[in-house]
Amino acid sequence: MSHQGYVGRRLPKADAKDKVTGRAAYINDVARPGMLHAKILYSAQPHALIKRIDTSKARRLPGVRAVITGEDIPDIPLGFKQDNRPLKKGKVRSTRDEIAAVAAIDPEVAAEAIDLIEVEYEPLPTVFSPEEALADGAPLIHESDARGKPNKSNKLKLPWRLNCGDVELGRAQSKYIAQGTYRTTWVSHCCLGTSGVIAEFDLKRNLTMYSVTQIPFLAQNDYLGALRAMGLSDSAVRVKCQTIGGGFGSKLDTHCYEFIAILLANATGKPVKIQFTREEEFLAQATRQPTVMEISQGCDHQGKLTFREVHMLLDNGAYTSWGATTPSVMMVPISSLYQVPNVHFVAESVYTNNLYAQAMRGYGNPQATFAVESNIDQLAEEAGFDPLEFRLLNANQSNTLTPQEFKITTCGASDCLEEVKKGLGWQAHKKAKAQGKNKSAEKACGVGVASLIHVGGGARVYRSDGTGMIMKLDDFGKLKVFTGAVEIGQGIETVLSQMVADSVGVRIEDVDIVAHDTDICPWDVGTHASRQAFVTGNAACHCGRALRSKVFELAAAQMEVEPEDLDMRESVIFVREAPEADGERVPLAQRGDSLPLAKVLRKAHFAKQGEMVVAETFYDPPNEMLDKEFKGNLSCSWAFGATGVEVEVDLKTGHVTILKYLAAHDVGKALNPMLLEGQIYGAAVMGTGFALSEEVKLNQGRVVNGNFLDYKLLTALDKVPVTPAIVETLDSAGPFGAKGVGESGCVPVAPAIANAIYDAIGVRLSDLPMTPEAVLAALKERFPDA
Amino acid sequence: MKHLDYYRPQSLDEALALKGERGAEALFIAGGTDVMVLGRQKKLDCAALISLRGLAELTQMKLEGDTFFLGAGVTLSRILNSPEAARHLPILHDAVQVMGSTQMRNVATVGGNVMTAASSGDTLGPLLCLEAVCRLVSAQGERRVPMHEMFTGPRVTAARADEILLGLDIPLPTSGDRKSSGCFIKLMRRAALDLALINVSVQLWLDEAGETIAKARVAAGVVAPTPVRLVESEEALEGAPLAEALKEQAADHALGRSCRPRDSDRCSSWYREEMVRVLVPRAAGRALNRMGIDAGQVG
Repeated sequence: MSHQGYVGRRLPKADAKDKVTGRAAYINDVARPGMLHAKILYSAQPHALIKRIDTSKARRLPGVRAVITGEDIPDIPLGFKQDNRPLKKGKVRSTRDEIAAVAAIDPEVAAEAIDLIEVEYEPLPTVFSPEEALADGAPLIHESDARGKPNKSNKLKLPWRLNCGDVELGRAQSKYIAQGTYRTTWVSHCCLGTSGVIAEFDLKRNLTMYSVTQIPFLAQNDYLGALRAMGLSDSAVRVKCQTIGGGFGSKLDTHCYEFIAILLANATGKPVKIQFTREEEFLAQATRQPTVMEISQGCDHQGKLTFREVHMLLDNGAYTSWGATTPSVMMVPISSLYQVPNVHFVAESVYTNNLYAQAMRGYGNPQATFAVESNIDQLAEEAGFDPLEFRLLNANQSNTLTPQEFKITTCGASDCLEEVKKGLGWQAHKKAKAQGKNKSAEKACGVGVASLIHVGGGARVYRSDGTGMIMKLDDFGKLKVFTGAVEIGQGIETVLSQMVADSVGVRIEDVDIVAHDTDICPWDVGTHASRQAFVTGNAACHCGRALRSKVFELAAAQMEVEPEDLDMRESVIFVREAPEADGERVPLAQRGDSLPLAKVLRKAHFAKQGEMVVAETFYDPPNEMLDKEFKGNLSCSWAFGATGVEVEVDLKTGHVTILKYLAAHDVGKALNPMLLEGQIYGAAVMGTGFALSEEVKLNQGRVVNGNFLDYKLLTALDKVPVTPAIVETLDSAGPFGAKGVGESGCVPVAPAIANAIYDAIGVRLSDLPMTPEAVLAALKERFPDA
Repeated sequence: MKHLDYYRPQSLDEALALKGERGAEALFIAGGTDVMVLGRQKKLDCAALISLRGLAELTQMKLEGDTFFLGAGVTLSRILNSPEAARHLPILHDAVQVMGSTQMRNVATVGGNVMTAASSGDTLGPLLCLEAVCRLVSAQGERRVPMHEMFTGPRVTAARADEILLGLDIPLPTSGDRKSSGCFIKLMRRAALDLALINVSVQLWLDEAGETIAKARVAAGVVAPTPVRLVESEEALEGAPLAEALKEQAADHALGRSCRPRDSDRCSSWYREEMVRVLVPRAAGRALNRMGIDAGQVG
């Protein structure tokens, strides 16, 4: 490793210029010769039998090249529970159900043809909440499971149950207990780039997918499965990711539309493009997992936590994507946020006729932390503690083992809380409040805090958490780095370049990242779980070391020194120590002698029996999959943080304004403070939207606000005045000491705001989003005479 | 969006002739910020669009004597950037400031806002309070319709199918040395790119001594099928000492007749009702502030 100092520097994103000047080619911009455009017909009913589909008028429309329905396609099971199909046959279970698709010469003709398809439904009884779905006699959404075994209820066969210590004992040891019920709803990722894909077969019937996926290599496997079902067992699949306009977890699964594009490309022999409209994005792109969470926690007379018990009911919607597996990460804060010896957690997912849910930034952690951290405030009040001091008292510490058997190595939890305390002026505010100075007739101010724990050293959610990397040096000293990581706006290509340059000892200008192509790049399990900076960074360190030794061997031979005598900085190889004279031979090189890297490489290529300089690594972090009891060290380092906010509540309108926002994060090491702050700002706005304004509203299973007018994504004018505070704990497992940070920022936002609202007005909001109407209603209920 | 005929007339006469030809099956389009949305929602019930963009007759904005003429084709951005509008018509200036986004304000027109006649149209309450007069032209000549007679139903105006809104004559509220100011408040779920949950407009005129409210105009949007004047609230304010303006009782009067908010996916009726009560006195207080009166002391 070379100490050039690219790591730690504020470097702007490598792709920023392309993006702001419009040069970056998003899937919207990409076209293939002879390409057709496809549109999808979605169900008009939330739960119904399809009695008849008549596509004859659509087929007759000039410009239409293919119309397909569930009847025309082979069986292609999709999703985590294999309960979904690209096009539904015989029955629809939600209004997002795809039932037919058209490929035509342009999107307008395809849309017109969609309107010409006639569908006759026989409506079935519906269920729109998990409680209804569990009631006796509730209609079954799925009559049988993927194996054909009849279902007895709408409950998913997916029990999540974590038991650590003895919760009953903990309860008995408690002096104070607090309980609460919290609810979160559907929210959308709102990627500015809507979903899209081009599927194209060549004449050998190999498939290329021009894609926006976060998981090119797992997607490749899913597409191959579909090809097998289509009788194309010998076909290969190449996934080429385009510039991606946001991921946030929405592209961690393969989706129905991608398979529809494949089916239509196969049917027409032409490349077929599907590009979602914004309305489609709200309807057919799965959401964040909604929750109903019952929680209770206790502490002893000293304020030490004694137990935590959480029961969750999850609306799975009509099909199963990653949403149903988010309890695996909800467990992280439930078992391991603060030191709590006894933990019990049960989560149940239930089919309904609603939208289904998938991965979204934090993967269940923001929901679970909303319950845990709101309830911590309740408990602190019950026990008579200042909420921040109560958290410090119970904060996670370095070198501890949590009840779920997470090995916490470095931990900046307390430092983060102290940063909030200082940055927010916590004590000054509390003093002002004690004197009644935080209130007027119309406004009240309050402060609130919430902490977070999240995976920071990869996460073994699949059997592999690995990533491959290949480095290749060319004749001119340019370094190509082949990675399976996907750039989804988080800046991995920039941060990776910094780490590569410092690992190898080359100029950052000479580093070029080659990514987004499964034919060229080595395997990677996916861009998820805040893992890319951590895993590709470690891969870069290993691979860089291998590459350096190859370079030094070549240079040593050319300079007639030992490889150990050499160092390289800024692409110049130099002799670190004067080689000792060996008998009669006088060494050619002496201390300070140097050779440009490019010269060494050219010599190597043009020498007799020449050599090329390539290195490869497969890095798989030493973390563990959760065992049958859901225990094990899921991540090899753990990220911590605390967010504190000061809010002003308009007592007459219920409107909440954020006056101060302090986000403290233990990131191990800030690889690029500018990009890190970008992650924190973005997460703050996403978290604030989740807390205050965002909600996909469903009425009888229908999306009623599927557009940016009525879905209240915050705007640039809704300033969240974020002040980031960076805590560096230099974790030895991480590259240059770093931990992952991609998701952390949005984890503690909602409870911090809810706690601040409570501090301001004495009313606890337990359902998200906390809209002005909800705040005012809660105020009126709590203080009917005011 | 379905296929429509599209016309781009170069003069008002040409536009009127086209409209005469196509009649009710043609719709005028100016900035397109409403029409195009309806098109995407498949709610556009017409066969042709006639663009009014850039017609010289419609794009004037000028102060002549005691009348502020606002051409129908004046964009919201031009109003926002007009020092005269800011000085003389702060109530309208308030409204324009919180409409859509910069990009939308650059194309959206005040005439479009009037003719769309949505209950939520943010310029409509201010124009009602300012007692603006709509100047409608057709092949037959010009007709003047006061704002309060303009909105005959949800998204329906008093304009005939052959008429074009030329612009609005706004009598200057401060003419003849009268002390007057106004304020518009829009309740939104976010700071931009939002429709009003409700909006409230208050314009106050003081008596010569500056101690009582001589005249009040109060209007609200999204509390009824059309933007409405809250006449009872006006009556409660008129003749009252300044302090009355700041009491919620002044707004209570409004809730009887013209104010009939309903539940929608965006907001509950109780909240809308409550917000009228809160925002009318707030707007009145700010209007007083703008006349140099310390509302805190008055209240």
